Amino acid sequence: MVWDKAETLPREELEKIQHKRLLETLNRVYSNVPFYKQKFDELGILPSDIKSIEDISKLPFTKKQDLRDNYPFNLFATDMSQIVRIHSSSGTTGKPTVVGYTQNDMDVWNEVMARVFTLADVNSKDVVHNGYGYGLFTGGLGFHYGAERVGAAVVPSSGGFTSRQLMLMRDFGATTLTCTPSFALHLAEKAKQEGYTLDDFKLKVGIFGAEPASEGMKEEVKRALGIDYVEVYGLSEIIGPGVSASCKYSNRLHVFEDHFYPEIIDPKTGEVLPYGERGEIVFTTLTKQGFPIIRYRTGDISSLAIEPCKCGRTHVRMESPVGRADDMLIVNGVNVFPSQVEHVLSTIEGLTLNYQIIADKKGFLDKLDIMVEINESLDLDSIGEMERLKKEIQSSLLNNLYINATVKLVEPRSIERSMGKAVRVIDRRAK
Amino acid sequence: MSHEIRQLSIFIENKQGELTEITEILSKNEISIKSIMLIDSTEFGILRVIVDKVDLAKEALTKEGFSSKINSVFGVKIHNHIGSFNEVVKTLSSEKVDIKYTYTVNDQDFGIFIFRVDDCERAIKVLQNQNIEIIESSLFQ
Repeated sequence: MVWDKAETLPREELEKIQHKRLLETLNRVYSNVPFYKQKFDELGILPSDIKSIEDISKLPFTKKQDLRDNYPFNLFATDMSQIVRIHSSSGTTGKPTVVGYTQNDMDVWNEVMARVFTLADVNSKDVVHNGYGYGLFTGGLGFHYGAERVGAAVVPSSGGFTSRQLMLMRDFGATTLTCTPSFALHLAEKAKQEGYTLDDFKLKVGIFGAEPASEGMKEEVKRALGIDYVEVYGLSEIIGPGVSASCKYSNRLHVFEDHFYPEIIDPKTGEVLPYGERGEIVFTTLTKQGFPIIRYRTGDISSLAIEPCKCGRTHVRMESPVGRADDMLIVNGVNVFPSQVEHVLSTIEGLTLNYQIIADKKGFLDKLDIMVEINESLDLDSIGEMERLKKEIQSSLLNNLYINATVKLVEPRSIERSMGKAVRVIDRRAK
Repeated sequence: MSHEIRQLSIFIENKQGELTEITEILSKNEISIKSIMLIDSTEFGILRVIVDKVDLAKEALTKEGFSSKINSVFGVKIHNHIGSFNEVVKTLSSEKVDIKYTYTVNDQDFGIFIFRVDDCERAIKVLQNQNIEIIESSLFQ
């Protein structure tokens, strides 16, 4: 099932729509938002210089700091009388970032969330238990209105009160769970403690997002709750949840490209990378009125795939974010993310998931040492076994990530910690 | 009467003071080391010890962040005549017992071959059938 035929448009037609909408957006921000006018003028660009959607790469990026500098409403592109909703981040790492929605923006948001629910096969027969937080955070309300749009019955339970949530999920016959993956695992654990079995529930699918989850964690959620896992991606700067979501044919997420235009860039140079390559994902909103945003740097590392999907949607599919751009290391020209190293280690027996990556120079070349903590499931009594393990890790890193690393097996307490958190990367190369 | 000895193997990194740290932990917990054997590669080593209170030793080491593992081994009394070791190894090999490693330790009165094999129980049985003397584990308590 596809909610909107826009999701299956031929690419050529889609690109025309994208270009038309981009021009509308550029005209709107150029005339209504001094911040954008100044940036475009500095680069000597007019909206009319953007002749095709690819020309978007001529435009300047927008960063989180720009939102903070323009606190609270200076990036809004409509009069405040048009704004019907305001959301904001908590601002724990600086000034909060504030976004505003017109009624039309709310309609777009509800529509894209309806697409997400449809991807999960949720419709008017379903009961959606919404465990995302309601409030300034876009999660709770974003899922709420999307579920209503497809005609499902929504239980707006928000976070907390786990025992009561379990009771309501059972008594109301929830078929769909929407919450963060970690809250899903918490619910599963609590259910077990309180003597519930899977038969007490009617759950069939969960729509999870708002925080990174490893493949291992996704499998655990599926297993613990006996449900399908649909991943959703989004951020309030773009719209909230509903920027992209996975379908049952792959673990990549369809980007709702008729509303949000994605690009992958090299986080160091800002250069646009071809399909398939990994880099920072950047979004431009194509239809937003209250808070349009041009080439917003998300900081999330992903890649895009253009190949047609079996579900029939033509929109590009993004990779579930593999890490943050800030954590990226470039070693002899190869990009390496700690999360990728962690994933490789998680597939090998005998290791804890505690590790440390040390980048250094050896002559003109970069060298990478990876310290890995062993655990006691390993045959500790055999040097041969340890040597074999070391070789296995090294060849797995080489085969999967194309990096030549020297692995050092260390004792569980060896890896430096600061404030109780392990330090994952030490870069000793001169900057 | 048991013949299986529970040996503790401790993973150590080749760095200064590592060995002292382990022996400190053992002595602080009043654990007596009956035998000690160190093997190493270029980066790490394995310290194999037989102690009087092996479970306590493991617990104390784990608390301090050392990885260790308890394995069953057994000891054969060394007789002071040519071919004594050969006889043991020949018996095990003819019974298809796989020897992982062996080393010697000395008691006050006599020497002992310590063996780790794939099947400790069976190895002890086949050696006893050949009247080879297996050390009782109580010797190390």
